[in-house]
Amino acid sequence: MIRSCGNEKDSDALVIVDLENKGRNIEINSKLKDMFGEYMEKAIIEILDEMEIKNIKVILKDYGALDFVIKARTKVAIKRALKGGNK
Amino acid sequence: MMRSLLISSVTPKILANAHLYEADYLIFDLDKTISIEEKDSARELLVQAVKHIDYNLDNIIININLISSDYWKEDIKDLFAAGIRNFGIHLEEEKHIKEIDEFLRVLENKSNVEEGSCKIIYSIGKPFLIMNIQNIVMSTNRILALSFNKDEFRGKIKVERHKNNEDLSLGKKMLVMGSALKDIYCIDSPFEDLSDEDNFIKEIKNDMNIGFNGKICFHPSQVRIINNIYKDSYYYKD
Repeated sequence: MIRSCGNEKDSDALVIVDLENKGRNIEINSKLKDMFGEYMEKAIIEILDEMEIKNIKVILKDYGALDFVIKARTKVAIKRALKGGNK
Repeated sequence: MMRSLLISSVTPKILANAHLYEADYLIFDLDKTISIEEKDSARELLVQAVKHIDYNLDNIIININLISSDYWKEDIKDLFAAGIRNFGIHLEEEKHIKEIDEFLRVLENKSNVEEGSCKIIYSIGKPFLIMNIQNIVMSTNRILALSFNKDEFRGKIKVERHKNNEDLSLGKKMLVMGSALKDIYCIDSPFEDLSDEDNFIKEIKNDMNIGFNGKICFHPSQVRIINNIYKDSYYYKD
């Protein structure tokens, strides 16, 4: 199930998740990847651990979002994917 | 003190800055400003913001969805878990008050929070509800403030807009009477025209004279004006 959450707007982030994946793949697209890439990944992993998701592909398109934004967008994208899968 | 209440929309940029504007209270709106498809993401964004940004949680109010909608229970549940205790609700029917009280009571007991610690700001505009204000105020101990919903009031009264807001005066005065029954705040809805500062000030002063304690606003520039006027009011002097 591929689902997304967020916007391609300033200070926001778009997160796309695919639950049909083996293991965890996290792809980060950001102008600030060199500086903050590891923090972005940490924020996403924190949510994945919290929701106990083991198999997932996450694509983050960051437009200067703070980490609470990335966390929120990731969480809702996963929730939407889980919901969509049941239908 | 509840002089100024700044309404903020739930977007990443605004959430990170809203607490810097010296408003006495911040209102985050999940109701009208959020489209149906984005209710879940806005709620989660708010939860994460509350956890990560050093807001003063006592001064945060979350405007939740209508009680007749499917979203209000989740709104309260998620934000309660994040530490929020003040909720803003647009009151549609009197019977909803009992439903809300009961829901909050169960939630508080389940999480070992003292019963009655969740407070509510009711936005009231229907003339029928305003006439019943005594019953509403006396039926619950959770009211933090009453807010006058002028758009709804005006829609029901069916008069042309007055420049001096004479059409609203009876509704406002009755709400003040209601808030006087217990020690709760009475606050007014936002002034729309940002360019018309003279009438904005006039409206605040007029409100203050009939017994209001605060005003909602949606632009940071209005906060200081409101605070300055209410600073000298009889209510806040001591």
